[in-house]
Amino acid sequence: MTTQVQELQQERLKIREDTIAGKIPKRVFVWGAITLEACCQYAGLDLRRAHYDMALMEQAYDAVCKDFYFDALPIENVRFAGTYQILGAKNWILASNGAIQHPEIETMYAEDYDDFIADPYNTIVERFLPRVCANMTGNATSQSITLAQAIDSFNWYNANQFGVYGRLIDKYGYAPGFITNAPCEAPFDYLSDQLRGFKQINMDVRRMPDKVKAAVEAILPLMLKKALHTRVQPGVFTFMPLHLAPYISTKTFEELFWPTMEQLISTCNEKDVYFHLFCEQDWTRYAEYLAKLPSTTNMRFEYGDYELIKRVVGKDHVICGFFDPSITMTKSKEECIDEVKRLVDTCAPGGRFYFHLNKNIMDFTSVDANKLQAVLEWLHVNTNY
Amino acid sequence: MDEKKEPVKYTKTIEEFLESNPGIDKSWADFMRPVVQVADDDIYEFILGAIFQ
Repeated sequence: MTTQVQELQQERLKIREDTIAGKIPKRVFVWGAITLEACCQYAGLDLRRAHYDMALMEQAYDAVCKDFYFDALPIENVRFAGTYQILGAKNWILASNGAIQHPEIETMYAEDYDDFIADPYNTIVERFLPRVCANMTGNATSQSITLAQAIDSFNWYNANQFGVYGRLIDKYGYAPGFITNAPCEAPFDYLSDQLRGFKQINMDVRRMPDKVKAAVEAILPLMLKKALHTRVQPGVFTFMPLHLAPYISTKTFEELFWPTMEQLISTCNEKDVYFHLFCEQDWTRYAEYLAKLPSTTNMRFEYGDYELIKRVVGKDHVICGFFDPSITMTKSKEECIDEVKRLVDTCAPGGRFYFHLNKNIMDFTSVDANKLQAVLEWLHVNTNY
Repeated sequence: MDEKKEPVKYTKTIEEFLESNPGIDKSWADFMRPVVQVADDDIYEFILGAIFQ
């Protein structure tokens, strides 16, 4: 690392630290996330090969890091093709173009509720795992070998990818972002996303709300164990993507979604494990709830009334998001910069704000790279406090 | 043996492990506990995180 890059990294670390502490930083911290799919597209590399070739993956990431201004590593790749293929996974599928897709699935059936409530982990392992992974069927020996191979593959991807991340962080002088721990989910989302599915859960909350309530309460200890695993470091930010709340009524949210989510975040906070929430879709109507969470929680928003969210949530909590990179396809460069300027003028005063794209970029045919570069550069140069 | 009647267990407590491995001295339990715990946590994180999240 050259002295110049070291100085830049120190500056970024200080800006990040001040933002988290609620102090006024030197300028607005700039972050974003671009997936492996989009990195390969941008770099002109074959995604289908990159999934299995760490050198190609690094080349794709490097092209994005070189050309787009960010203060933290702007890369995201958490779905490893080889691992899911070993498992024969039906919930994470490699499409013909190399993108990893999540189809709507029902892994847990309505009649599984009672057993799941009584022993959620064993029911997941014994009953749901063979349903969702074609290669996790058969006798105990073959299942054990498949699981061991899949975990070995997962660890290989992680170890090698973190090596790549380390080299890019050194090369570009990045600061850590605002996610520094393994992800965790709100119990209601955990039940909905991969177990019951979007369609089924919406019927369950009407037909058997008591069972849904008991199920999310049974999931809470699993999520606590996941967030507070044995090797966790105090002060880390656990990523929690939030999915279903915008699609349910406020009454259902109050009764079934919020209580266990709040308990999960508050319990972890007492042990110095904090959360980075990604409030997907529009959480404006839940702003008052989010404001009640421990002030250590930082939140990224996809859509919403950012003036209201800044006023209600952002007075005590660090917030980010709202900027939709796909506007670069329909607006001029100047209009895109005006858009981000309005966002900064509203959310940056008083601190507790950093820039983040409102969604990860996974397809460069829906984003104009040149205009996005102009927006990021404008942020870098023009957001000094 | 009808394997359908035998549920597969991917995780074992240290006591179950010692019971199924009688050749291992029980005095090693304390030494082995964190090792087994780490392996158990890895499987837990993998199943709950990588597959079902």
